[in-house]
Amino acid sequence: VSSSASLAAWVGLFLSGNNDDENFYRNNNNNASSADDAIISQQDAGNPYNNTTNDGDKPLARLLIVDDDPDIVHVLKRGLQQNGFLADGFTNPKQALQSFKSNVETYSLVLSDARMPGLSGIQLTRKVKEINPHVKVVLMTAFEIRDNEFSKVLPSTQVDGFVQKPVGIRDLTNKILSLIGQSKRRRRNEDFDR
Amino acid sequence: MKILTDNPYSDRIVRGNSLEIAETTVKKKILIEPGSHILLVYNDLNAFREIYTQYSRALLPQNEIVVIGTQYETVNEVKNILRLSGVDVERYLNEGTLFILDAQPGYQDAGSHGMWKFARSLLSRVKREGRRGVTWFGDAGSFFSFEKIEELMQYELSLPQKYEDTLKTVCSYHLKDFEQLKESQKQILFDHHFKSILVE
Repeated sequence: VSSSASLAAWVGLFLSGNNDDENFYRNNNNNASSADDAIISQQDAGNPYNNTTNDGDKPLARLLIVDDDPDIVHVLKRGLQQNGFLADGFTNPKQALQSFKSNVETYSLVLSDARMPGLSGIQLTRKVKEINPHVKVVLMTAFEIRDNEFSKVLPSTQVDGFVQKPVGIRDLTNKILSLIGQSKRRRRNEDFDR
Repeated sequence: MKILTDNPYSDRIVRGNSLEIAETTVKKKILIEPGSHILLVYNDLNAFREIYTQYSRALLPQNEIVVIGTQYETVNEVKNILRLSGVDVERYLNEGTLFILDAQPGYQDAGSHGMWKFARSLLSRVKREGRRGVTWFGDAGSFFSFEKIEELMQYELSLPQKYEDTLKTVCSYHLKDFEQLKESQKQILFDHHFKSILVE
């Protein structure tokens, strides 16, 4: 029930409720495949399957998407791929962490649900930042985001951004591009300083 | 439903699928007796939903106060699930006999005892209004999320195995969280709760 309800909320925003999102989506996807082509099964949501963007151009960045709700993984992965990103989606955060370890140099950003049983978004953040401090992490939550909630438990492991679900793909894309841009600028400056 | 026989705590550990557990819990009333401090380990969210839904549907009309402290689904999702199963959510919310809360700030911001204080205040209402009792489903997931296992153990051990009044607490754990505990910690929890329910 919850799964369907959450999917409906996401899809509602994604496809019809937000004209800005829809226009952005259209303008950036001249060669987008049909919706059916983009649909993945729930098993696929647990594993990276198709890491190509729909327009065949060089991807903007590679993203790791983690959420225990397969519907959300599906919608985010599809939307972000169609906006030019390479995106791997996982419903199992431990598998996601394994993928991150195996492809540590290629991921620019991790987009993870905050509350997941077994390995929470906070725990995942800590682990990926230990492996690669430069990777950006955005946590998503359907719950109210309270300022001190994460700072109390992550004093040294910065979460780079928070997203309140549901979020439109356009807003999410802008947030990701902004974070990745900051990251690239900082790394360029570090190289220059050396 | 099976009762474990190869475990020293066999008389207090019950295993079954979510439907069996829900039915036994609600219809036969053998698992959640007044005053019980229960450990519930659910293998997926649907199992947890099945149990709190059946319980709420059966006990709210019998003058019980039900509190659902949620971790892995939002308050609105819980409301919707209850509505879809036929619970008159608005009526019980307005009456103040159904409470659906985000467990994370309850346990982590107000401290573990914040929710406990709230439970005591509800018990006062039970006496004042002649109600049946209070049942508290609280998901412990935030302790794992924030890696506060020691605090979790302290909190659990601060609660009695059996309450002297009509309070029933169902300390609920997602299996993936529960599996993060050491075997010794699991055993302490099994030992400390009046009954343990493992949903398979």
